[in-house]
Amino acid sequence: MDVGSIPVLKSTLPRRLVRLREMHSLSQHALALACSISPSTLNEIESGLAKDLKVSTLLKVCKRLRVSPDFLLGFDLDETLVRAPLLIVARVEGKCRVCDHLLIPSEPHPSSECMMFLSEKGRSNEYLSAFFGFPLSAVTLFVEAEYQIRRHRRPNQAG
Amino acid sequence: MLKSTFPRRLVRLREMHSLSQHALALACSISPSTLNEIESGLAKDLKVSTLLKVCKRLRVSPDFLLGFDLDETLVRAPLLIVAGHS
Repeated sequence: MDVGSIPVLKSTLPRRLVRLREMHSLSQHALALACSISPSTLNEIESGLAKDLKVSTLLKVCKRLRVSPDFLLGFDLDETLVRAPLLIVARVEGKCRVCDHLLIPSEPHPSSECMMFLSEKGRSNEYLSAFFGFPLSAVTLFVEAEYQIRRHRRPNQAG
Repeated sequence: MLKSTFPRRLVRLREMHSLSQHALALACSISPSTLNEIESGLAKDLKVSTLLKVCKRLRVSPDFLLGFDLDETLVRAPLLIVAGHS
């Protein structure tokens, strides 16, 4: 992690940015447009050629890709966020606001349970997507799969 | 964000580290006037390089200074070390 110096703009940031953009099925042009930045600026950032970056630009990109600055800047070492977007990793000790589960730093929190808890309470997938900060498509797929799994489990449990 | 959360947390952390504006500016290789603008919430924007320098000196993550980390307890106990062995 090249924290505290600009090398982070040459490796970690471009790598994570490209990966996230592709996860969201966005072209460079579409992301640039969504963030109100020029495609050439975004291209420079993704190529690791940007010498520096405005915080406002970073925040626009974070907002669109639904990640925190820590993740893009390489402070969050856990890259599983990209591989498994339904995993929440706490940074500070505390309680989950949904389930009161104790959050232990660096240990994954089963956000899937919280998501299903809210879903069963009648919250829409759009609400869950906004609440947990995951793409709507991922939430929809997850919730549908989870309900299917539960439907299959119930007869077995009864037996 | 640059007008409220960031300045408030920055000033609080700087004072916790017993640093003057001038000392922090010097440690981060930025001009004292720039730091003063940031702390006063007058800075229109900020470079990521400056953000990273400040984070490094004050030993916090960008998420915390930018207000993404809602838990302000970090400010009350930044020097807490949890040992792995008794």
